[in-house]
Amino acid sequence: MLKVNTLVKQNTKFTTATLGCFLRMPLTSHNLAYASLIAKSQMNATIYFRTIREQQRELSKLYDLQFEVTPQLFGKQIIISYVANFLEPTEVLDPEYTYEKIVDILEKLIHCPDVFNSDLLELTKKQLLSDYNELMQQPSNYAIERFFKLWYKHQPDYAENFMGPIEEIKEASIASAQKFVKAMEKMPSSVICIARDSKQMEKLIKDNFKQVGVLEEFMTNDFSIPAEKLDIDQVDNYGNLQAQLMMGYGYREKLDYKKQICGMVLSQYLAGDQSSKLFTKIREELGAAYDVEANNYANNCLFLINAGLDPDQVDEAKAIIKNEVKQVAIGKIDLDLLKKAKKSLLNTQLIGQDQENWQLAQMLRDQLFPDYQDFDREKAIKYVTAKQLEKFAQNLFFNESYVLK
Amino acid sequence: MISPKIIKRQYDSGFEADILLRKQFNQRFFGIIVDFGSSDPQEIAGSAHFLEHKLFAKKDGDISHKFEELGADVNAFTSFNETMFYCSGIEHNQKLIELLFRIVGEPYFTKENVAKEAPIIQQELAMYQDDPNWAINNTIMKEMFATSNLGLDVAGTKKSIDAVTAEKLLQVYKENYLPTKMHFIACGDFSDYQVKTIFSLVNKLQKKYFSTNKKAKFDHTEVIGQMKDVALSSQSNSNLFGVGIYLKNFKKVLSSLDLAQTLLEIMLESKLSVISPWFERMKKENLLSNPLQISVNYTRQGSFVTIFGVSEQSRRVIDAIKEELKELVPNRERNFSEDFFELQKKEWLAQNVRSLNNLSYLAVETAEESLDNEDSFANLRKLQTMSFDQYLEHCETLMKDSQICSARLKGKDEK
Repeated sequence: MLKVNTLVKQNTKFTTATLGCFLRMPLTSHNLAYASLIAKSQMNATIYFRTIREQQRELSKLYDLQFEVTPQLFGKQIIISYVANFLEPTEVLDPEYTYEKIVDILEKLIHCPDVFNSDLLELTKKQLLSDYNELMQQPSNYAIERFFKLWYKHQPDYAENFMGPIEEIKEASIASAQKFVKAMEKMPSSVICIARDSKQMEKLIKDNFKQVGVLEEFMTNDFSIPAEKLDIDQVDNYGNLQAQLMMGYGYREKLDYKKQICGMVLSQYLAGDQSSKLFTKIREELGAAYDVEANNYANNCLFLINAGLDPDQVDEAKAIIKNEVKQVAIGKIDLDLLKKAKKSLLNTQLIGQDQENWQLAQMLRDQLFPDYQDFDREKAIKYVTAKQLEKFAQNLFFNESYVLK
Repeated sequence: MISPKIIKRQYDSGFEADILLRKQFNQRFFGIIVDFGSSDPQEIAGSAHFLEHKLFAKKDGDISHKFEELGADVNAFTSFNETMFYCSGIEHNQKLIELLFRIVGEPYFTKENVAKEAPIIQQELAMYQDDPNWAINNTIMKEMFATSNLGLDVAGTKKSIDAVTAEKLLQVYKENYLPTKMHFIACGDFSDYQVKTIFSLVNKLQKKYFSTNKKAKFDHTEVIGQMKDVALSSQSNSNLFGVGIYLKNFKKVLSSLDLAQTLLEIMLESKLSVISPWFERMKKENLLSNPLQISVNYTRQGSFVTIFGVSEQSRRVIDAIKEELKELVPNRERNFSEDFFELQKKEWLAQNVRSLNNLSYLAVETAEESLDNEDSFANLRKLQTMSFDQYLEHCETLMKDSQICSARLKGKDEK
């Protein structure tokens, strides 16, 4: 029997339901540029609702149905996610407002991008160019963009972090957009939903979402991009009031789920909250920053620490970061702080269950990553030891320092 | 749609408490909101925000560490007329509430800890100031409200931050952190017994920390700026612009300022949002491609609208906005506006229903409403029964004698 990629869970808590359709394709700079273009275009208008005005009006009539289309990066893969959040019909008891109607309209919005309308294409291009221009005026965004461009300077397909090469978006034509949409139809996809009447919703999804992609293998193991040894140290001067410091540590091998959790615990230990190591040392003791962040980008084999700092204190902050990572690697770990970090992450998991988007993201992971459904995240967090943290830090190699002043 | 269950208490001191019940949620949210913010009277601009930062300092160290030991998050924010301290966790309700009252009720300001905080706040301000949005927003606020506290950044200025001392902070604290100006909120899945214990604990703690019977004073002085159109020189390539509308005649509609705010937001969206005929024209003339961000705000020191957008020809768009707002609903657009108003009734209903899913948002909104004696669910009912003509009449009154100013970054040809 054919396996159809759908997963529907019963909503017992929320006043709204959520439906997500996810489409997977390999990350290339071309794919990202066109995924951004088509996603934005579908949020504007589609074949059935040919102007922004018509589409917005339709969504308003459905009690302000929220419809978001965004390309998300998962290492070597792009997931185009179509996510709709809408009031549960039982909240409003309007005979015109039913699951049938909602799913019917969503199917049209998702499967019928308008790639025949040159006005729409030109408008979407303008919007993306304007968005990109404004994003890049914000130093923190510009620093992230530069950091990844350097990190993947030998792998340009992975170097784009926002919307793909802007030149490619500028040059897109109706013909090239049509070609991309044609290819999208065959890409593996999955439909996930949280709704009160899960049985009815499952039936409606199966009846309406019949594209080829839902029968393709959505799950894959091919996400990880091993870090290449680079030793980059770059400073750009733009005369900003605050310097943006990005410190990237790499690791060579793909991490299993348990090690990914270790990376998450390390980021919490170093910069998760106000008692974390770097927050205490850089903000409280040095007075150099308002905030410090650490994130483990498991699919990119990258552990990134970043902060907005007083430009005169960048070197001191860099020394503190390097020293704190080193302390963990040599086993000098504050056990009380580790306990706190784990407790905080466990609570974040529980509070996450109070958010539909978080639940949807977990369901997507279950569909996307092999054996993830059987992986117990809470248990894994609970059982992270100081030794495992030490080992994780030992595997990190300092790879890039980028400073935007 | 069913309104959430809220249980209320008022204590002899004037301190108030609400418990908002949301069944099945894991999160427990606790907060104390103070009816005092950055635009209220304070000798040194930014003192309310500085106070918000420094109340986390205690004799035994940074109190946020104690929350983290319990696996809870703690934070605070300062707005124009409010400061709120809040925490969120899963368990240890009693300890979290005790710690929250310690934050607000136990000031510990020293020369050293105030000096240590100043550079951190300077960095917070620098973080905003590097963003072109800040320059635009700051300019229109100054054009509307000059250099009054409302016209300045919530954090103050570089100079004012450096002028804050421990003594001055304590003075501001004593004048404003009064029981009659404070409100406690709890939100989550609490049993009847827990509700009872929370109220009893809150009563004990408010007695312990807030015993003064000093009367709260509120200032409603409005200082109006020059309301000019300003073109800013900038190093950046941003095409941002902003429009500020000073609402001279903003007042309650059907006993509610929130409802007045909602009606004006609907009106402005109907005039300028992506589905308006005006936006269609702007698009055709290649003046706008992305939607505008519209927001209506009311404060004790003045009420205003801000409109932000991006355009390579911002001067022309600003002129077009001014022109469009001269007449609220011209005859040719009456059908569209009427249809839009009906759709907005659905949207506001949806917004209220959605708000029930986000505990933190719901709790903060409810706390703010309690301070202002507002009720979003009652307002929604009023909106649903309002006719188009009534809506139009209210909007015309609210917009009467309003004044417009603007700020934009100079275009490449002007630089």
